[in-house]
Amino acid sequence: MKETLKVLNGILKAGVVQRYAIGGAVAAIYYLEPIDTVDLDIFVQLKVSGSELSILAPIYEHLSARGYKASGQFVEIEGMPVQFLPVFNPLTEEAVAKAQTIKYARVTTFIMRPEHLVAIMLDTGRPKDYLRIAMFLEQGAVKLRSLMPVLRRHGLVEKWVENEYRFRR
Amino acid sequence: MKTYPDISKLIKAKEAHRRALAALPFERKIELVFKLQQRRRFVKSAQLVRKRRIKA
Repeated sequence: MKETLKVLNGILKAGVVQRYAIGGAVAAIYYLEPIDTVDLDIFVQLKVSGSELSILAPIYEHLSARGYKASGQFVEIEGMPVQFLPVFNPLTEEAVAKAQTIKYARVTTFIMRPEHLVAIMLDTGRPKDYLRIAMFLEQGAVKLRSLMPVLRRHGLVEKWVENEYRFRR
Repeated sequence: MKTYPDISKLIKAKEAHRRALAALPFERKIELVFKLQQRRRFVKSAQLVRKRRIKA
């Protein structure tokens, strides 16, 4: 994964994206026990905005020029399938903007904060998301005093209250 | 009335193991994920062989 992150930092350095942050299961692993996953979800803040997924084209062009091939929704980068997701609402935009800087094998990278991961999982609302929210709570990996303001800002408090019974034992 | 063993100690040990895993450095956890994927591939390949044998 170290080499994959170096390539991602190259995209950032080249100005293809303004910011990026690791989200999804790999970000969850940073805070929780290891869980099985097939890909690395990278949320990107682009210079351009638009409703079409073609806004991701500059990333694919940059990677293709360096020999990395797209396969379905993934781009295989140094042995790791990477899925790029443009920030698609104010919540994911904030999650990328407020991502924390970490080091992975001495490579600098950016990872979403637990309160944003939990809010995104609540918003997405698949059974596996609820399961992971339960893991965050059970393992004390998210603080409610950090989570609640995020839920309030993004209109998710009601959904939290409605589904809280799923996360708590 | 039939009695069953109390497994609460085992459950607590499992919980402690999960917490210990969660406390590992990120790099180590990613290594473990890769190992998990290798194991999954191995199990899947074994299933494939079994299916082929059944067909044969």
